[in-house]
Amino acid sequence: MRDITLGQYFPTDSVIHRLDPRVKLILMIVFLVFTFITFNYFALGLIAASILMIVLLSKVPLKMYLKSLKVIIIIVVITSVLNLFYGTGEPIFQWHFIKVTYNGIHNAIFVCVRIVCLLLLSSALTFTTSPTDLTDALERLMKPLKVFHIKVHEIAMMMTIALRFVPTLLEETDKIMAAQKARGADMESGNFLKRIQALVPVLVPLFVSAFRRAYELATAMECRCYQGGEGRTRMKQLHIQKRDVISLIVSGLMIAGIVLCNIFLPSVR
Amino acid sequence: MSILRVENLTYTYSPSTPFEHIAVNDVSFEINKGDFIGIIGHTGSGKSTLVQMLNGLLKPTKGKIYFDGKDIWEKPKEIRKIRFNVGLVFQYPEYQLFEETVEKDIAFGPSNMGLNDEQIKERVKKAAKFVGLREELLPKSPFDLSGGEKRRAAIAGVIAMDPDILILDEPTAGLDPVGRDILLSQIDAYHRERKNTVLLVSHSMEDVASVCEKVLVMNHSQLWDFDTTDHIFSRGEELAQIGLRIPQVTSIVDALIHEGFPLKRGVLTVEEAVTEITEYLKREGRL
Amino acid sequence: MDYIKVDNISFLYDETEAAHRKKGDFVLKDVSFSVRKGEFVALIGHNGSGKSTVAKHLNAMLIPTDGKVYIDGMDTSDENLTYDIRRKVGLVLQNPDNQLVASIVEEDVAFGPENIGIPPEEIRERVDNALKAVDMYEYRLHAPHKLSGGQKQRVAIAGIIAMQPDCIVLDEPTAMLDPKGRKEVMDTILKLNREAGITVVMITHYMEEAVLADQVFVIDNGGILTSGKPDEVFSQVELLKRHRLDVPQVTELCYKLRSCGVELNTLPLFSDDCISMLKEALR
Repeated sequence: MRDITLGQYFPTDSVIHRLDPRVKLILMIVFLVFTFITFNYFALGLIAASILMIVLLSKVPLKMYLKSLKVIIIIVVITSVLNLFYGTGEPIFQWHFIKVTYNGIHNAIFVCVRIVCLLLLSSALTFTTSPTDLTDALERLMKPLKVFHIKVHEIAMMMTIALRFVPTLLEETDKIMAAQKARGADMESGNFLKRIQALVPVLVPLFVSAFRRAYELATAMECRCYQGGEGRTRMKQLHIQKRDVISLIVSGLMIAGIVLCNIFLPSVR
Repeated sequence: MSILRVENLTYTYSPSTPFEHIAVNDVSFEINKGDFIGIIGHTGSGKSTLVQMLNGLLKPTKGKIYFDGKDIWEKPKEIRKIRFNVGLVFQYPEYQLFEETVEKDIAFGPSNMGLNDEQIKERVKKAAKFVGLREELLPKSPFDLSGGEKRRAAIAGVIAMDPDILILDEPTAGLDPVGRDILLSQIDAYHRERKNTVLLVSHSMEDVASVCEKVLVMNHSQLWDFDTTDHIFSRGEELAQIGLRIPQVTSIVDALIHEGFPLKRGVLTVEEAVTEITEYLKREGRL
Repeated sequence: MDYIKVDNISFLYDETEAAHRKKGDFVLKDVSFSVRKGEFVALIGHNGSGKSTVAKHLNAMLIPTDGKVYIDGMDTSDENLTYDIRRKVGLVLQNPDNQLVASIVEEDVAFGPENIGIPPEEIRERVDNALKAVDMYEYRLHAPHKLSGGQKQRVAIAGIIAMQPDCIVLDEPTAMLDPKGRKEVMDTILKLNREAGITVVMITHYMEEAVLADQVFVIDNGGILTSGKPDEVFSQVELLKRHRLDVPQVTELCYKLRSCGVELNTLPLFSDDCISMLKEALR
């Protein structure tokens, strides 16, 4: 239960680690968008190469990336296979209802590369950025949204608290499950409905506890003079460094390349 | 007569990974029917892992556990039965209450055993009585009880399975002195009336000294000693070396013995100490 | 001069109309006491006696139904002063897990100072000093959920210290800890009181902790049962036992020996005193 790779921060010292989290967040979004609007092998190759470079520069063991890839391998295979068989155009191979077209092959490759890129990129972000830095970056990036009366600070605070309590609640779930098993609760056998029912003795105490924690945390926050985002300062200030500028320029060039490939080279569609 | 025998018990968390951690290391002991045993040791010494193995919640990495002469992991599919025979009350058990009424919550264990309604009702009533829960509390929501009552309701939930061995992991943690005294005396009364085996995991040496006949000491995942309570607590200096203290009153009498007064070692309670000292004075003809 | 002055307060959770109030409904009844600057005060009493309610009155989390609480001369019922009072009197709660906000120790400690708008460089300095004061500096980049109970509670104390209060109120800070954690937290509190001169009000039901205080108040059934220096309070063994409160084992031992006829003039609070007294009496 505790092995979930949920935003697992991997603290080492690399260029990627030291980048401003805002820069990382923006670049991730931009690269992701281009991954999904690219229909050209050169552009896709450029994207894959950039992402591979990021992965290598992050100094996070490749094993960690492979571990997170393992989780979605089935999804990748299924969607690729589906794409392979549902292509349009002239079949190059047909057996009963199964037919494979060039279009299908292209689609399968694109879908596969896209999902893998998506995962590698988001893993690279969460491996190299601590959860607090990430929420911090989100809060600062979303600041302009205040104009539309979006409660940016509150959203960021909620994320901070959620991140803080995920491990605590996971641990608690383990404990409650063990306690109910000690009273003979059977959570391993039975059909789907029975298993759902077996969760009630775990979920009810978990919710009760979450509410109790929320209440106590609110009291503790009030005791520490919390009054919302107004007039708050931050200990950590974010400053754009030289390395941030360089990585923005490099990424900019890459993206320009991707755009040019998309425009001037033939699309597979 | 032996009811539980443990042989070379070992438990390793996350084996063959960088996080590998041996929580219990080659522990062997034997528990007799009707014993009241205290389990002490500093945090992380392996107490909790040990008791979770005793009722089959954790499967030992190595070693065997025999309950009533039978290896409990002989038929892994029937491990649930062991949990009814070896009842385990976790720390802060009130956080596991979930039913609409106290009665239903206490009945959760017995109904998992497959008993009929009549038997369950009987069990619930008896268990509630053992922990001193008044009958008018049974139809109430468990979340409306006071802290001490919740704790007792949760313990009743395990007692209602009528286990041959009852293990309590720090049952008095966080209770005030009154709550602690009431709960301890109820556990003691339960032990005497039911004549079954009780294992009490505790950080409070005073609690252990006042109710337990024997003490099992864990240190750095190994069994340090298992002996009668007065023998264990007469080894105050050695216990201090492994980060455990002895009851304050025991250490006072020890200090007086050290000063040359002929008093008995291993005095456990204030009452015993008072008798020991006044008798000495009487022998000396000074009282 | 009195730093905290609790003047005849009564408290009722639901705002029942004045005419229908019964004395029995009150959680606190006519409680008065005062704490001098730099003092270490222990409040003892069992669960439901009202001691936690008293604690929440000291930083304006609760406002008395009748009577007044003054912190350094400021009236807690004045809403304009609420946050000034909370900066001066920090409250540490029982469950260390539920008072830490951030997933990194130093960011959690920074939470308080950030809330009161301290400039960034000064927050950094305060956070470092606070973590050093509770001996947790080397853990500043750790995640709270990986710490032991005693360590978490010290981080919670650091979070309050970083706001640079005059006084810390602790509501059963050691109740959920093992003996080692309890000692760590107690040592930290004593150090803050003796070395940094911080006024401490500590609620506890461990008598071995209460005996370390300068003054002890015994709360029972919403009122003050007795108060005074620890030796004055704990020598009233019978009164405390009647209200089902503990006394230290050494005090109880000597009290019982005395009633058996052993000549003892005073009752000890600590092991060392007890041993030397008994040595005299037995010789």
